[in-house]
Amino acid sequence: MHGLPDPQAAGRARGRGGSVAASTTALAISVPTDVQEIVANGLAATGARLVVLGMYEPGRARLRPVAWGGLHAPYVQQAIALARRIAPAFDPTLIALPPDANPLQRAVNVDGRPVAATLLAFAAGIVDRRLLRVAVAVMRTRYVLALPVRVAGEVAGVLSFYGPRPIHGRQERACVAFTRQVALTLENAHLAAALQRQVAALQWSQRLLTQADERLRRQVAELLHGRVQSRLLLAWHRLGQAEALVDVDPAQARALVAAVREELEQIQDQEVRVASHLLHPQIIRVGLGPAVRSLAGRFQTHFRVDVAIDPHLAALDDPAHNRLPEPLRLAAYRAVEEALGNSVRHARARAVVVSLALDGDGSDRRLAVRVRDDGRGCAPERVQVGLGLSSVAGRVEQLGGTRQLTSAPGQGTTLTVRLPLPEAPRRPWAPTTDDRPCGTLRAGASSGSAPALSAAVSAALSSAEGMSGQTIAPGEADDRSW
Amino acid sequence: MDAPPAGGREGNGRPRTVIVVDDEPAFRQFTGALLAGRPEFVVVGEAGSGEEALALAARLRPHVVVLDVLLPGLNGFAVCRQLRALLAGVRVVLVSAHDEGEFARLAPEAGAAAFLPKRALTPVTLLRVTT
Repeated sequence: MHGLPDPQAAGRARGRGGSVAASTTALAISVPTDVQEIVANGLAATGARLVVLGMYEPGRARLRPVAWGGLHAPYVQQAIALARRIAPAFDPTLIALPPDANPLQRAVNVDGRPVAATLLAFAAGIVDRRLLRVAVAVMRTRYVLALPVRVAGEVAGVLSFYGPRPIHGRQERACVAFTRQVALTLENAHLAAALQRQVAALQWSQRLLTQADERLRRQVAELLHGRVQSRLLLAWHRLGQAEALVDVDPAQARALVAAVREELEQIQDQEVRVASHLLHPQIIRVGLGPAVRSLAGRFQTHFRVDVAIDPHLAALDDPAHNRLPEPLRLAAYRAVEEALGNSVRHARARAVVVSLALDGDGSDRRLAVRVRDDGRGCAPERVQVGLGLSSVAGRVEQLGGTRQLTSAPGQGTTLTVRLPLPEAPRRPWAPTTDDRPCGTLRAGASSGSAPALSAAVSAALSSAEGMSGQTIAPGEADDRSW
Repeated sequence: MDAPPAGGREGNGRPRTVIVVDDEPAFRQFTGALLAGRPEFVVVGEAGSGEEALALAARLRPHVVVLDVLLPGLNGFAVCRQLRALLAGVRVVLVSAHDEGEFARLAPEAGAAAFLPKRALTPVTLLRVTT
């Protein structure tokens, strides 16, 4: 079918130049009403006696007719009636064919090439030849011109124009233009649906963040109004006692003042620090590694926490010249914080390994955060999403990242978050004298050598990767993850 | 600038000059009050940011800089490293009320003489870590 113009060439060029999403092999387009109306007017627009729009089903295993021009014309209905005398169950609207049902079908459906042929050849192996002869005799549809309909750069369906004579010249150009119009309408619907999905996802993320923000405010308020208020009240009371005793029993007064001083130190050490970290971990301004190590230190009373940091990442995360964006550091920190909190609440873990590393290459360079506990784990279907992890997911998605939760009964749980770096760092990294690795294998322990750290990070990562168990993909995690 | 001599004062008997760097005025005031009247130190300047501190240090060439870690903009580690490049003998004492363990671990890497939790900052400790 050489010589036939590709009807979507212009539309494709237009779409590719803009922000059309990359095509997927599972592209499934819902057919909007206006497309059905356009196709219904296909006879007048092209002079064909029958126009059929076939579209791929989800999964692209088959194509089905979804819109017709001329289906209710008397000659079509007469042909269908005659066909049903031969095959009583015949219904042309239910024909579903594999995309490569015959070579001509393959050419248009799979290869996306325009096809002009006789109906008998085009439908060979799909429809009983006796029925095809009825169609040719009654409908006078001996010839067909089949044009691929491309959406987002991929063949999404096929428009077939049927007539008594070969379709070429002016009629062919009309068919091509008509197909382009249908494709553009479908493409618009596709883009609108994608936009709608993105808006819905954004709204979902914002709702989660709002809920998490409210939960945080409540925690801080409870802390301030509860423990801090009570301890300050106690300190105030002791100061009053000291004041009363200052003349009659100076020694006792001094002891009370010392006790108040100690109490104030404890409030600063414990309550103020907890509230401050809840609101915002200031240390994140220095670096992700220091922040995570500090965080890990707070959990050591619950279980052993080892922190492994890839030296290449540590070089980027230099406290004196940090090249990781702060929002990225904060999202990673919150993910670790939530995972450690979940391990405390649910896992009955004895040890947790936190790994921070760089994944991928080139422009797909990602910060990979893994938190693996050795707790009891659970089957994916028993996992429930908490607000905390949902809000982590919201933060991660807002930064274009992904998260994955792996768990199995008796085999612990691993949370993996990957966040894209804004620009790919150069590889291999050649740490300068100032780029000393700041990773440690155990929170609070001293730094190790770069090779030792590399080996330990690799071991920790492969250990986390090696956990057997089922993986919950991000989409599924809405219902089944932690 | 050469390193200041050991002892409570400079070799010429003058107190050591100190710059206090913190974005929180209350802490600058606190440190000023802490060192006021002490013969070993004299506070010669205050800065509210790292950038301001670098400019002030270049002008005043202090013996000691008391430097908050969590400054807006350049953090204390970055400022410390630049101060050390600017004034080879300067004694930088990093301070913070947060995350003392991590900051104490990182302080030597930035070239600081010491890290002190803010509540541990006294003339005696300052003298000890800058001597």
